Amino acid sequence: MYLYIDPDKCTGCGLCELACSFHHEKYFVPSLSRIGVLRNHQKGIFIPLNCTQCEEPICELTCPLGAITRNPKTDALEINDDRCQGCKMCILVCPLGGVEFNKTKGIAVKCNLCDGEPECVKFCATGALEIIHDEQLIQIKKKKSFKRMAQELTALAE
Amino acid sequence: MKFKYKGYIGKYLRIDLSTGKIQVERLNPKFAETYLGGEGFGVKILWDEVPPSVNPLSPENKIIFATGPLSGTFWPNAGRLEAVSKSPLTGIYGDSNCGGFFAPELKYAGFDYIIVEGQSEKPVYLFIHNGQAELRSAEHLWGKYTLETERLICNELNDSEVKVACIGPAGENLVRYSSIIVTPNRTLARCGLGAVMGFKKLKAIAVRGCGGVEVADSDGFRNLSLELHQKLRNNPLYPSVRRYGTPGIVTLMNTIGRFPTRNFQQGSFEDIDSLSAETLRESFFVKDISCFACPVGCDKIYEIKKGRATGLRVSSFEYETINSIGAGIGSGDLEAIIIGNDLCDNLGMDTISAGRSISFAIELFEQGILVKQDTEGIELKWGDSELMLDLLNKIAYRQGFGDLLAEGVRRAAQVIGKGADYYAMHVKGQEISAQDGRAQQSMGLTHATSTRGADHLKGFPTIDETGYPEEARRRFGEKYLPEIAQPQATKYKPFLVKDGQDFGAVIDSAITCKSGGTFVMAEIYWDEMARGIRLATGMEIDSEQLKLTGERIYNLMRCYNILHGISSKDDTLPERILKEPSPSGAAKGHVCRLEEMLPEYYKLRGWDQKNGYPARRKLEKLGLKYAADAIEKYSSKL
Repeated sequence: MYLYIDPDKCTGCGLCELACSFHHEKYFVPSLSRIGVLRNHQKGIFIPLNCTQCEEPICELTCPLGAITRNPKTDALEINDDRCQGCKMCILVCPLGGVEFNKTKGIAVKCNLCDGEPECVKFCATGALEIIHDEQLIQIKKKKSFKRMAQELTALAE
Repeated sequence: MKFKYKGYIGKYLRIDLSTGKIQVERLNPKFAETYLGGEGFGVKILWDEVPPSVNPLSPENKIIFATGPLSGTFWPNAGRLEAVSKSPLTGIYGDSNCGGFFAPELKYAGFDYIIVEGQSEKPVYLFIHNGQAELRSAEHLWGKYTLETERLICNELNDSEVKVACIGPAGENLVRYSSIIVTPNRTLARCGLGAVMGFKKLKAIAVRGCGGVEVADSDGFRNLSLELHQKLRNNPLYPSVRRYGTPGIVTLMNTIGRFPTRNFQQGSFEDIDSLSAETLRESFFVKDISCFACPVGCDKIYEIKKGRATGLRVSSFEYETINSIGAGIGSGDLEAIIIGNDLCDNLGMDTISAGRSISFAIELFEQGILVKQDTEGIELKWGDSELMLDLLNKIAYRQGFGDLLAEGVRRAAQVIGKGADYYAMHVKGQEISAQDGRAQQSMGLTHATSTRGADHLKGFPTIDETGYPEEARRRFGEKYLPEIAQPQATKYKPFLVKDGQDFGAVIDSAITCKSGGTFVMAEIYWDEMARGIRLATGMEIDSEQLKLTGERIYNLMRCYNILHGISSKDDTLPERILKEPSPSGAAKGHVCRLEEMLPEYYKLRGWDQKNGYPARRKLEKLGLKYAADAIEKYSSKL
């Protein structure tokens, strides 16, 4: 399972960042959230970015201390806080910006899917965040592109 | 040293622009217990530091930007910012409240509130970042539009996450209803607070912080917040508020005759379809956007897709503006209203007061009180969008005839004379927002008794707008039904308005949004707020004590106004609303029966029937003995 993000539905409210940081850090600190929303209010573009739990995770391969491992229950890649020494290699190699650095603790942090029940999904009001399983992904994408095509065709017909 | 209560940061900033001195000061726990935050903090600071002798446009006036104990958390809509100052428009207590992202960022930067005093010699802006603050030159920003100012500041600081509150040319030119624009394009619109910044030569405040906000009971606060988020999402009104935002009520308000048209000559507009939410959405909608921590997202981006202004985008495009520079001036030209909204945002000007000033002038022209010689040859007529756009610019730059309108309708009427004051639609100097007390009696009472002059949001009676008996039942039980939910009944309305004003004072102090579950979609009430504040702060507070806090804040605003000469004579409405029966819709034949409500309202408030002063006993019960003493001293000198 992983977190599916639909930027078209995101309105930029930041509830995901609040829920994430509160769950993991025990206080509201969006700058330490594992999920981060890129915002351009003038253009109306909001893109929540988060770890996609890669099949062949380059962060896991790169970590010199073996601090990143996959949780078999949730499929989430997790960082072992005690092993991590804050070398930031995982942050450097991740192509998505899916790993954050917690300055206070001096370690890398990333989404662990909250042990299978992500807080961000519970607080998101727009449906921009969903937990999905592998087989659902392609269905969702297909539905979305069919919908867009239908709209374009309707516009064309008019 | 950690602050006694969670939720707060425990520090505030005091900036003296005259000397450039910046002080970090500690919040007093007793102050937080008594005045909560936001509006409560603001009014107490004003009471203590800005006495009646101070002119709003003088270095001695101060402006406070405040957050509350819930700001920066995921409590529904906990992103709102409160600004408080003595108003250049009304000369009394003034405040303004907006959404966006500034207030949480201020807390993350390490401060609960900011007090700005004095006057700078040259234009400056204040940059607050992670526990520190500095004044920087704004000479290169002076004269710039607000959106450009925000962009330039972010570029200069090399951080797109900086949140900015700034003024435009209208604030610089001391337009008495100039606004402050707050990232992203939200507006502290009312009371002319932009002119306070303009007078102080403070172009902007920029803030950036990477800190956070703690709460006292993590699990409890999280569970209650999530429960309220879910309740809001399941509220029957949620889909339409989400889809249309505030413009969603345009057609409905027109039907009940509560949609001020042509300077309140009518309460409904004949060309309403061209202003409806459906038309707006169909022709201009681009994207839903939200304020910080808001599950509703009533805001939208709209874009003009063809014609002369192709590509022009606005957000925070509200019901009020569609009325004030649309039907208010007799225009159904939605495209021009969008252009006008963008202009007001960029110039930094309240669309309500600006629109009302224009409609006031048009009616004077219609009545022959103003003639072409007075207006530099301009013919003022209803429904003229080009005239509206032209006048907005003239007002902001105080050019020609615009200079007079920039003073607001009360002052302009005094200058013009010849009976012009009959057409000046204001209360206590503040132009009336888009509600007509003839169509909803409680709204009339709200306008008449609001502490910042004509204003719907202090009391915000929503339950009887068109009648929401279910919401009334949920809030008040069977006791007050059916009258409390009937727009034309006056029975129980003093209770509804007083309760709304006290609750609103808490909402503006905590701070959350009046559209997000507290008044619109009434899911959050005294009990939920008291629990939320208790869980967030750790203060021992229940709903009864919170009611006293709300009453305390509201009464202190009232007392401040009394020392500025306000009394029962000012708790009134323009004669048009009291004597000219409405010709429109469901309100046809009705006037606002204020005289049926005011005595009961004063009685519930514990205010003197004759002059409307809060009684000593009432004030002492609220812990405001000092205010009772001040009023006694003041009235003995009268």
